[in-house]
Amino acid sequence: MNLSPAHPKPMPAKSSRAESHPDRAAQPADFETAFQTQWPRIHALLFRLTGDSDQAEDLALEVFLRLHRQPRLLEPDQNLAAWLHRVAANLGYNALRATRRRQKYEIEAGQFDLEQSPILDPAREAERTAERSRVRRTLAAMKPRDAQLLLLRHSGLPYAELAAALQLNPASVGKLLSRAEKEFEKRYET
Amino acid sequence: MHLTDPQLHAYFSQEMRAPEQERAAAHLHTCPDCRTALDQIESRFSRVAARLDTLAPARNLTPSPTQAYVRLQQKLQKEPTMFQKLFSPKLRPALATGLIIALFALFALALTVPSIRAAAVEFLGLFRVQQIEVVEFNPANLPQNLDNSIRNLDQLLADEVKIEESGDPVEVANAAEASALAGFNVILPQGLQGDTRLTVQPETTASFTVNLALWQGLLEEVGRSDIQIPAELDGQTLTFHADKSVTFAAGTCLLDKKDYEEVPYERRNCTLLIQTPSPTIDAPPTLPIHEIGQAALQLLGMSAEEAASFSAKIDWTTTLLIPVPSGSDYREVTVQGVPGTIFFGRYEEARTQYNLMWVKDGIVYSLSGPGGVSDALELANSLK
Repeated sequence: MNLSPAHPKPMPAKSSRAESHPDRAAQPADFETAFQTQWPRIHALLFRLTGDSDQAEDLALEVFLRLHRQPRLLEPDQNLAAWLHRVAANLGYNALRATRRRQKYEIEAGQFDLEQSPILDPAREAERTAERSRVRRTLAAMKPRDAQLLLLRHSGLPYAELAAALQLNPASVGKLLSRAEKEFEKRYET
Repeated sequence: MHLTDPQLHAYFSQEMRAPEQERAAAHLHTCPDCRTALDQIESRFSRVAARLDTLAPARNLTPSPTQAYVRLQQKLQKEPTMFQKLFSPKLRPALATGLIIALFALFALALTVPSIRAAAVEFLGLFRVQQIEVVEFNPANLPQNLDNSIRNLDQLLADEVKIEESGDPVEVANAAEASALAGFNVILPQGLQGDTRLTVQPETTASFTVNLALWQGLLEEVGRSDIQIPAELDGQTLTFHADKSVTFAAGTCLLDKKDYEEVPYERRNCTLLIQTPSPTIDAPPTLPIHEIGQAALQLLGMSAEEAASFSAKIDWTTTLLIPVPSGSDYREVTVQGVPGTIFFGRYEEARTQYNLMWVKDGIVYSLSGPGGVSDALELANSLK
């Protein structure tokens, strides 16, 4: 008994595929190219959420491991960028919340910032660290969808990509964004 | 007519189509209120952007794609397949708490799919396992956002499932003691060297009330609202009962997670035998077994027709169905004079882990250990 579908979706074997199919436009993207292209954005998104370069890297690698297990996402009819952003936003947001639950977050983030950035102005640096903490605390307190919407919007995704990434009706993106921004400000100020 | 917030937002983000954008611009020209509202939206956007920008990584903190790709390759080489995870020694501590849990773990882990998990209870339930069958599925056909749904599932299920364990595991010295305590004839491998541990695990009863809306919601969430769970299932209570089971462990088996990470594969020489009278499930006679089976198989990637015809052929009341990813290494064997199934997980090139399962005289056996089919059969046939 084999449940494989009639149209199997093999792992992309990039070199042979490239040779046998010169017309690459209609071909699935190969995994490595997808990785190289998308890595910086996905890592940056996760860094924004976690504030920890190592954790962001681990989570970003996890995103691509999942992609590797689902090669059909590389097919031309799939919105790969949207999928990657969705998975990353979910993983990152969960990590943010989990970290917050452990109550270790500010300490770690503080240490991290101190270790990683040359301190030119300690007072200014402390202020920035406090602000980052507050921003992340605010995001963690928001509804996941709203927080993810803001993060992805401010990572530069246009409405259509946002809708695809978060599985929203494109017509509702403006409304949701507008609400999410108000919600962010309200929570940030309290 | 004033422009709405979402319209202003779209206008400001240049997300309107050109004619709309022009109309909005013209209106803004004549409407001071809308201009004020637009200003507010713009400045809110800038304030939020400034806050969020504090989170942006410094340029030197993003690992280069090339380095990261190397790391990913390393992870991919180490990553066990879902099938290997299923039988990995990591699960042993959990498995050691009894075949029941092992069976649950098989389902929970192999399927990790809501309705299948529900169905798994029923597979076991109906009610005496007499045979084991394997069904292959293609992991690529599983719904994509399962991971998140599973996370929610655990919380949701916490309210639905009640588990009672009577007593604690008891360590015993030999087969006779184990048999007396467990209430069935316990058999053990002969001639194994090294540390061994024999434990009688307590009885377990779990009851589970089906909340149809919940399951249907989960199916929707994973994008398979086309799958129908039979409506008559709603509110039915299934009670799962597992008798005492006996686990025999030899070698380095019962590691906690931390040790597990540190002990290399070649030193993890664990052989584990679990035996238990077949678990039973009480369910109303009206339980739509074939429909549940069909739903589960569809979720694994079968077409509705294929799943229906497959489900109809299975005697769910006596068959434990084990789904494995297609391409998994397994085969039918004869063990202790009855049919059995052996599964292989390959950890490293030269090293194989087997899991051999069979049912004899109403007792379900699961034997796992290092090696290949001949090692497994030699050990299994030495049991007495």
